[in-house]
Amino acid sequence: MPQKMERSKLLELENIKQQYKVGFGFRNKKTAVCLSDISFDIEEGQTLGLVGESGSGKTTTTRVVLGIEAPTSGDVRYKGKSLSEYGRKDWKQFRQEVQAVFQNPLDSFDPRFKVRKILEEPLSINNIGSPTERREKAESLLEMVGLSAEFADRYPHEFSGGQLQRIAIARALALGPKLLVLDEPVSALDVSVRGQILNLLHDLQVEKKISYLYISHDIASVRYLCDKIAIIYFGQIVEYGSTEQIFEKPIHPYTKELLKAGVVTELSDNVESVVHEVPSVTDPPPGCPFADRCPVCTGACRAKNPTEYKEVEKGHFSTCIHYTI
Amino acid sequence: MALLEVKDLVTYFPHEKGKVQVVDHVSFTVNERECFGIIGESGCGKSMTATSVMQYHNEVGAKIGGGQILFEGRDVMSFGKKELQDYRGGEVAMIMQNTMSALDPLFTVGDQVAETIRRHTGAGKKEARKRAEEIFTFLGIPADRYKAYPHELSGGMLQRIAGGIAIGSNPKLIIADEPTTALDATVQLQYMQLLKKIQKQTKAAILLISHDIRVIQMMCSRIAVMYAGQIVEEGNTDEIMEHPVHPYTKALLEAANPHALKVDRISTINGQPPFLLNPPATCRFADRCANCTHRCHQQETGLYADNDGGHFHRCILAAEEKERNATENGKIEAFRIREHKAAI
Repeated sequence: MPQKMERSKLLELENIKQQYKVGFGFRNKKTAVCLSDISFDIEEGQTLGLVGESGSGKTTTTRVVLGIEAPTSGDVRYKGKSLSEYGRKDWKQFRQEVQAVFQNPLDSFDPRFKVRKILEEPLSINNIGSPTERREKAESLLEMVGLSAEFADRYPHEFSGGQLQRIAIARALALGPKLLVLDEPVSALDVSVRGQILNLLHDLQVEKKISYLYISHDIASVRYLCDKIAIIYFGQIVEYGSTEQIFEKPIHPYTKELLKAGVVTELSDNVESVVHEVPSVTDPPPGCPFADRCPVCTGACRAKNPTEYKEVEKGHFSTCIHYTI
Repeated sequence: MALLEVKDLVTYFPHEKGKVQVVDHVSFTVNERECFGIIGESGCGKSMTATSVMQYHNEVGAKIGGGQILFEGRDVMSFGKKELQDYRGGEVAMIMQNTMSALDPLFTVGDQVAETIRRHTGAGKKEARKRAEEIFTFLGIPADRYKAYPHELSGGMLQRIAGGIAIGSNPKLIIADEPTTALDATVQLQYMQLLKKIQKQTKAAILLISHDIRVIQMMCSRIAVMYAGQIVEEGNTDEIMEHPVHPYTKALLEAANPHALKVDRISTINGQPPFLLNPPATCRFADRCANCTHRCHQQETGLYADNDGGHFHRCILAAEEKERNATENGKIEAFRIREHKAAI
């Protein structure tokens, strides 16, 4: 996506494509295209929201951003340097500066570690501080996320979901990161706790100027936290713009559907029974992948998948062909 | 007509220092063909209430400490093994939150739907298969998915299958425990539509459990709000949505308001629910409540009626205020009568 900005870019993704080989035997081998041509960038101190339903490629994108997987093609650049050119030292630096918080906090902790050890581990791995300093650091981290220091001697299973998510955030902050990748950090939490975590994330960003890549299927929380939003559908960014632009003037029918789903309070009486499934990744349709669900779909939509971005207004892009400027 | 009556149900987990009372004197009624909702945050005892109704509490290590569960007037707790087997899945079906673990990965989803039909309706293999295929069409699942294994289907699809298993035996009551929590927003909406369709078609009553007020609001005619093992407010959905009385309900509605996220700060409920080991008889929300007074920490709470329409709550302050208003109104009324008489 063409983007010219004055602020320095922390992370850039350029035409990322990610494919997997699936199936057994040499006859049944298929290629699953999970990401086709993903590009976006995150500026310093900014939050980008990546919104889409399950199976749309959100998590694959995080894996590529975190360097857990190398993309099939395309380029991920962190501070201007491509991850594919990284050496051992670069990776060490990168992994200190880019941290992640995942959806299910209980799964991301070792159940036999006390909270203290969980928080001290990133420090001891990187040989930071003396044991006493680490101990103090762990306690101050707990206080930073609004938990009392006495929690340090408990085990993960003793905490509620919201508290665990706070600990996960504390661990991610231990090394003073520049970028936090938040993969559905609040979707496993209750509404009342969800607000607490979102407020905490907001405050931390203001205080520490960390950039966030916030991934979610919950459009409401995205509105609160993000400066820019990318809507992803079937491995493709279908709309991109600032939070205001997306919420005030949604262009793509999928974005509209997402926004609607967030505020509907009544069910219509005429009950539809058709399941709208995302098309198969191993056998994608030739046209727009959203065509089957789209209210404004025409023959042209089914003939060719629109991949070109149209600039609707400054900094607001969409792939939908039904929008003419 | 009352289909399910839960009276003063107490469920607890034995603990070395006493009892962890997760369901504390909970009473409610689900009428025939009605959709009744229970809402509350995690750990408030919603799911344990459902588990007790299904008599699965032993499996999770809980014990029932008192109360009664009546299904069509029969005492569920006195059921023998055979009766229980017919009751579970036959008369009362359950849709679980996490379908991936509720379904057996080694059997095709079609077989799993057919299994319930065979067990509970006495249908033969072929007949069950036919019924299962009908259910698939009803749920809007393509027929070729009959032979698919759970891992081959998406979350929304699996949740539909779980619904299919539930309706296979023509149950009178369907307990849906957080059926949409694991789903995406758009799929969630579709599933709610489907649940409504199920209810219309099968005429079963639904006991819907969720922490999402939106889901409850869309489906249910009556709701109970649970907090720390107790029902803190109960009444008609519209009334509770418009005039919540208990501070917890108010805070919950505020926190869940989708329009509130435009603001700079999300309203939250501060603090944590109390640990339910030997809980106090006083208000359990007091520590997190904005209007809390010293009386809230001392006085025992009970259920107070807000009006005659079956709206109950557990807030001392609201009850006192209502009483005060009532007496003041009474005084004014008495005064008016006196004036009136004097004038004559």
